[in-house]
Amino acid sequence: MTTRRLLAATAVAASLAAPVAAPAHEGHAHGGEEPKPVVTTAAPTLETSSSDFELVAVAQGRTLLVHLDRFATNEPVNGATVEVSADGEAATASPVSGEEGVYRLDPSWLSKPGSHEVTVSVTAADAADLLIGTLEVPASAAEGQTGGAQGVSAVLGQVRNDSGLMLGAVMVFLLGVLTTVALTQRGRTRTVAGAALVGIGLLLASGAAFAHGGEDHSHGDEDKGKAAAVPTGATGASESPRRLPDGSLYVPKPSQRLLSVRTIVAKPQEAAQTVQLIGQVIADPNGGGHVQATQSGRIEPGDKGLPYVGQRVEAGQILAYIAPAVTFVDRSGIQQQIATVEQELVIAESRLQRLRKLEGSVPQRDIEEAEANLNGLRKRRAALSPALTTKEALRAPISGVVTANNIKAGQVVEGRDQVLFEIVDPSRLMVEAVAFDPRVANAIKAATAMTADGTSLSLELLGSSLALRQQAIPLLFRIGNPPSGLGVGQPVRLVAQVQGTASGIVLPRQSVVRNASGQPIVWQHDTPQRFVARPVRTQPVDGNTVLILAGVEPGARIVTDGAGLLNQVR
Amino acid sequence: MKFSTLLLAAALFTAPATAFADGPKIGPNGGQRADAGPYHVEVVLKGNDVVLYVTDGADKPVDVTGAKAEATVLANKQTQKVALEPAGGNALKGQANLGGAHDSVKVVTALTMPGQKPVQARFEMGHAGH
Repeated sequence: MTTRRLLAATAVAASLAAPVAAPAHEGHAHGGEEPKPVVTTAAPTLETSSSDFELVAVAQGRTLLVHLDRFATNEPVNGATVEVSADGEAATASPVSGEEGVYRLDPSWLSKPGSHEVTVSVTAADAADLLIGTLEVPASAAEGQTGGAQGVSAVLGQVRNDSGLMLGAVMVFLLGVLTTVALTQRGRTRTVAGAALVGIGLLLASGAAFAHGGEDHSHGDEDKGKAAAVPTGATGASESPRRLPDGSLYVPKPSQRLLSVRTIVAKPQEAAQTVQLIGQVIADPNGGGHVQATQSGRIEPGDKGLPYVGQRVEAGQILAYIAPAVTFVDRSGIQQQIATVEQELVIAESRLQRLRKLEGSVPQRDIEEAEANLNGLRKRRAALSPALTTKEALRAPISGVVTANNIKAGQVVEGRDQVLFEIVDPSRLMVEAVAFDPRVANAIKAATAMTADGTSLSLELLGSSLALRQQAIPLLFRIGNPPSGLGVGQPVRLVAQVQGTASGIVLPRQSVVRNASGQPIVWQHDTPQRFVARPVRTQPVDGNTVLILAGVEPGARIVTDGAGLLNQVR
Repeated sequence: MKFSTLLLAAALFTAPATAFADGPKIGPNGGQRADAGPYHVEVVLKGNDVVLYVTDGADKPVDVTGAKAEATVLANKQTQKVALEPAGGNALKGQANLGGAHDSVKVVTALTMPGQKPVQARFEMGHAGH
């Protein structure tokens, strides 16, 4: 309770003291209670923009760093001539090597405190422009001191050195404390307030003691230690991107370069109405093949070994052989037949030879019969003999990539029902989607598909089935120029264009991100170093672009590249 | 009190940007008008003459005796500085080399009223300015 009253007293005193401090310290936030975000930057910063360029100049010590970007795209501008003039002094900035679109100069006016009206003349290859702005150089920054004696300490130093200001400050503090004492009638509070008064009096009277700033903590209970900490610790922390109290983002130019933030200017456009479908990648019936055996047998590798999954094969290439499986009974039967045929062959040959010797005395008909008999037996033997040794060659039916290999060398396979190899031609893949609304199925003109990893496929409608499958109409699309890495069976999300148009702002898909509550938003580039989230209503146009139906004004600069990274700034 | 000071500071800081965001406004002399600190300034290009008219926030003419002004003119990719001298009433006048081209000329004026700090204003001349 007492602490709270003490805080109230110091708050009243601080607010009364504010007008004294303000002229020396304009534009800096002293606390966190402002509803409108005021960006506290470590270094004096000038932000300005025109229809061509966006410029952020940051004073670092005696050096002015100028970040120059395109207004519409936020691309850094390289090779421009940047002339900065202020206080009647003009100087050309030189590009900083190794950095894109950064120029530096060391103007003498930068060491003078106060506000400087700056004119920047920019001449790039394709555009020239004049930009203006005001750069506020605080007294402490101009003195170029190290860390401690900046901000509030410097103001306090100024107050101490000026007797009039000091008198005013002392009176203001007295007034504040007395107000609190008058408001609170309890003795203990009065004691504390008296102690605070004595402490403040000592503090103000202590002369040069805290001109060097190390003692900021000694008056931390005056609610000013916090404010003093901002400029002191600012060189590192304040120059990192951060979320402002109203939810917008402060992203310094160096961070924007690092995240390679790019924007486009929103333009209203007409786009086709779309529907979304779910589909999967399938192989073209003419671009996919199975290899099966026609009989049971044992697998033997082909000349180049068995094909492995992922190997490219050509049509007609021998993938494997099948040595026919002949049972023992069959084998002995065949061998018996061969023996019989060979026996008959020997008899037939000797008979034909005998008849030939008696040619002229035996009827010609007998000789011809014997010859025919011998030829027939030879053919029978020729047909029988390879039955035990001939292998069946398994050939690739099409050129493509082996997608399945179900066998190993030496494996015994059954005929027909077993698929040994599957081959798919990756250049002839299709997408099969299902539509539940027959009107949609009939209205589709063109479509694009997105895989789970974000690859976009352009699709050409081949046709739709007349027979429903599970109450849905299958639609078949051919993939134009299929990218590598596409797999059969892969699920895809289709965005199909139907007749009719919708108007809105067309943006790339990566522009739309989701905020903490899951609402789709885009980031608008509001001022050079500030980004504002805009909740939007979207409709997909195709796999890569979306249509913003509401939430973005025409002409706004919307972040395309780097939106996901901006979204993670906390 | 503190909050209003901050608001004032913010307003002063964003004034040039606001002037740009509002787009060109036409002044009583037919030129473009913009905010410059507490004043409204209007730039008219006639031939090679650059004329700057100064009015206050309520568009009442302000006597510019003793005032100084400088115009930075970007025409044909060339930047030139033109000193503007008081030319009676609320006008300051100077000579620039515009080469007859008044379109896509950009002008920045820095006006210093007697006893005050300089204030800047920016103009983009297009067809609307004539």
